[in-house]
Amino acid sequence: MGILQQIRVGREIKRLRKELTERPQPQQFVALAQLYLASDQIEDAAATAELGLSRFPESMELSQTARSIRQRQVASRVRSLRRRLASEPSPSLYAQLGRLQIETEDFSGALETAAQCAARYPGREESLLIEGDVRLRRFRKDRIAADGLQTARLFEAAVRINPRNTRSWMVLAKLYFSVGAYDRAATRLERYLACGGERDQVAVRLLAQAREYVDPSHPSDLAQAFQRVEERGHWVHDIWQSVVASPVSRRDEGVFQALQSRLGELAKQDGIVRAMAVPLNEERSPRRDDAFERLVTQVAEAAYRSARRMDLGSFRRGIVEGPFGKVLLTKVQGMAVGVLCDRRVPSERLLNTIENMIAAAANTKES
Amino acid sequence: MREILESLNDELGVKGSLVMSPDGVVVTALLGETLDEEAIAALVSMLLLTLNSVVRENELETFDTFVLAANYGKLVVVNLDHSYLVVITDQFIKLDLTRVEIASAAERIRKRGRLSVS
Repeated sequence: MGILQQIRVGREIKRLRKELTERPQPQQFVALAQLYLASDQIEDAAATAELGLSRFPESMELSQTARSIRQRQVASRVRSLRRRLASEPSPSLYAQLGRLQIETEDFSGALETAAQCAARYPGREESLLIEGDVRLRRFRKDRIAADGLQTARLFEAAVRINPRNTRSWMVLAKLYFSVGAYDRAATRLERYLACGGERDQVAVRLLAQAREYVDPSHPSDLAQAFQRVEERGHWVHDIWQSVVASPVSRRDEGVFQALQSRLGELAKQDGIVRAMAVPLNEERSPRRDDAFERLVTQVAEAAYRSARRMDLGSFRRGIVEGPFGKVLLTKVQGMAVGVLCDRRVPSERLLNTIENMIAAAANTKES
Repeated sequence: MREILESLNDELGVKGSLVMSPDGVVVTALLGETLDEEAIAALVSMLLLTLNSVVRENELETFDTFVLAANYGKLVVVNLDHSYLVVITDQFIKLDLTRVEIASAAERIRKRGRLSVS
């Protein structure tokens, strides 16, 4: 692209970004994403399409644009990672390549990457995690006992090498819970909570549930548990979809009303201006009536997307500070809670209080 | 500016940092090998687009700092007026202590006054 054309594209990008801030429309997101693509800014194009889709999930045009950008993005990243691996190999580069291959369902490519990584770095966790993720995908799709057992073996070996990897502990906990091996799920959840996930209320509830189901007189037989799932063709607990990400919706009135009422009390406290809960999985229309509700929803959703794409895992908490004071955000169980308060209010303590409120509201409903 | 980021990255739990313009152009970056600076800058830029838009809509003027805590790490974005300081840390870090260092680095970058990317 010539200099003049670059300047023209740059101006057009600036104009569209301004328009998007003022009056967002699906066509503008598509146009901006394509402009980024034309100037080889693939990451910006992908982020634009993704942001557009979050606002206009029904737009076919945006969805097609996002898909084609994603394909280009992955192909370009795979090429770049292969180049870097040839000149400066490292376990983390192998891990990145493996993740991309799994994402595009190139499982044989991912297993090959895992094998190369294991041969070069035998004492590291990365090769085990790549292969473990491939087996886990297969197990979740086909429910073949051998894949389940292999997944367990690989992640157990990975946590022996790196016992601070919270994701590995959670994968093991979910895997065991899904086949009804509650005693094993409970011990893995304890390790998960002990090494950094202590504020994860979903994990706390899951642990309580696992402990409740444990039969101390019958320790679980893992091979038998996986075999049972293979034979029956369904999970003992479909934890993959429902338990960990159980959404709370406006229709789930019990939880929602209990929480709103607690937040109403909270908003009467000194230094707190507003407090509100918003379900994220439904009613995703960008035209919410209340500006603060839009702030809570859009920042929580944008933070969630960014955290996932930066490999930081799931977004849990956010703090926005400015001359106005601060906005505290937390996202638990498909619900975002936002509090506008002044700067004197201690953020961590208040966020802990809110997360306890969500757990208490959910427990109220259950009981 | 690089030495400011170097000293910030020496803090326990800090995985990397960068300075970027509001539209995602990287000015200086010191990220570990696992982090792709252009991808991070693009994602932060889109996050800022949302953040600035809703902050203005709520008549809150502007924001100084945004902290994002996720299961496997944290992200801190400091508004330097014409640019942003972005810091990525692990999930175990206690931000109360590190934020003093981040604020100090932000102040030093501001004082350099060399950034006027807008």
